[in-house]
Amino acid sequence: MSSTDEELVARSQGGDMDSFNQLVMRWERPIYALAYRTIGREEDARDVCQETFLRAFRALKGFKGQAKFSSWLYRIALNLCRDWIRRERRQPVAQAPEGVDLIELASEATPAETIEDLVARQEISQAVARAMAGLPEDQRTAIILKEYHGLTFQEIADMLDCPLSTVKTRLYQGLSVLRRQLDRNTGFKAGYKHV
Amino acid sequence: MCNKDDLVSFLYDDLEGPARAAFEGHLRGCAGCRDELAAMRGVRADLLTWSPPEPDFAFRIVNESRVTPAAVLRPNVPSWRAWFTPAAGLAAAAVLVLAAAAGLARVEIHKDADGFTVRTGWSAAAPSLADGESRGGFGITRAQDVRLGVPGADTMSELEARVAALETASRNGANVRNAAMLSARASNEEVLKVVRDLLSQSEGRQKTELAIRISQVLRDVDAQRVADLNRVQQGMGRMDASIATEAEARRELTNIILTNSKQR
Repeated sequence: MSSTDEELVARSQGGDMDSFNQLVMRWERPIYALAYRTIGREEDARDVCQETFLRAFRALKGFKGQAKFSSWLYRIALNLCRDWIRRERRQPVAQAPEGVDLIELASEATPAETIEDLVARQEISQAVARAMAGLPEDQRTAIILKEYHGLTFQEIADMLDCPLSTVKTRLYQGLSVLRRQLDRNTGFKAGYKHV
Repeated sequence: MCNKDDLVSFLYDDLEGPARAAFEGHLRGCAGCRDELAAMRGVRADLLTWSPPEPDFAFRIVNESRVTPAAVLRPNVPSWRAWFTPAAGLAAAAVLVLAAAAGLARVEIHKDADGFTVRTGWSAAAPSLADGESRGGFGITRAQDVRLGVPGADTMSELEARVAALETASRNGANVRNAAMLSARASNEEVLKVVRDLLSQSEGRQKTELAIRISQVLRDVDAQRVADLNRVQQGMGRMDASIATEAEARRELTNIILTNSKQR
């Protein structure tokens, strides 16, 4: 039976490095995904991910468990992403082609799915990446945490240090912008209808 | 009154009890909110298509006392970007230029009983043609041959003449190569750019082609599966018919036997 995050954190705080590495293995992909979607660059997202775990390891003694370990990691990663964006002084770039592999898609496709379906899916993915990159940072972060990481409104509010209603407003505004942006791409979405 | 917070909560299935019932009541009477909800569900479906690339890291925290500081965080899988440096690109371009120069110079080395023969330049396959001789309307320039024979078999003067010929050939070849290199260096960036573009285009085409083929294979497998199922069903049908016929024959046989036994 695998240990819980809390158990692994307690053992790590006692100096057990293997326990911390188990936490790294458990959370490296979600943290990398968060960083990638926030800053849009594969290499930099990987650097942010490594730096997140390094900072977490160094600060582990001070982690008292008031929040979940994952929320704590997310917060560190988001701060690093924010630093990256300010340092680079630019909007995140849309790098969807790197993230969408036609071959991978083809292998995942159901037999009924044609190559046209795969290409359409890839195009939607690229449009989403571009639209997300154009969102204001706070709206983008709220959408990423809600949509891709399944956090509750309260968890997001705690993480971003803002009221619950602000989180909902950011989500509403962000989704509205995305809706307009994606509707502009109706050219490739011929025959694609929102459910 | 349309409440956007409630709409967002409802969208993420986070509205419960009386609040949910109240919003559902509002939705029944508000076409605007219904449309907005449907559109946002569509946006959420689109968002699911965006996934990050598969990360190729596998770093672990290790004890600093056991390793050098540089290895505290260690990626196990180096990125291709790590080795694809401008220097590597230039080296690759240089190899291409040298290969092209060697191809143009057509360097050939043969070994026979007399020793090694180094040949440069374009020559006809038939060795009997004289200088300037032509065949079939095409001029054939005789190649420069330098034969390195076994010492002692020739006189010293012949040997010196051949060494001089080899030096001349080498100088001429070097001049050609130098010119090619200077020209290549001047256009290194362009060549690299073109090579990268070509590689990128080729990779893209191959990926698309492979994706199409995989998709076709999947469709073929599916079609084959459907055909197999049909065949199995047909076979089952035939077996059913055969069993029914056999059962009928047996019933008739049993009836005949019963009739005969009654008559007796």
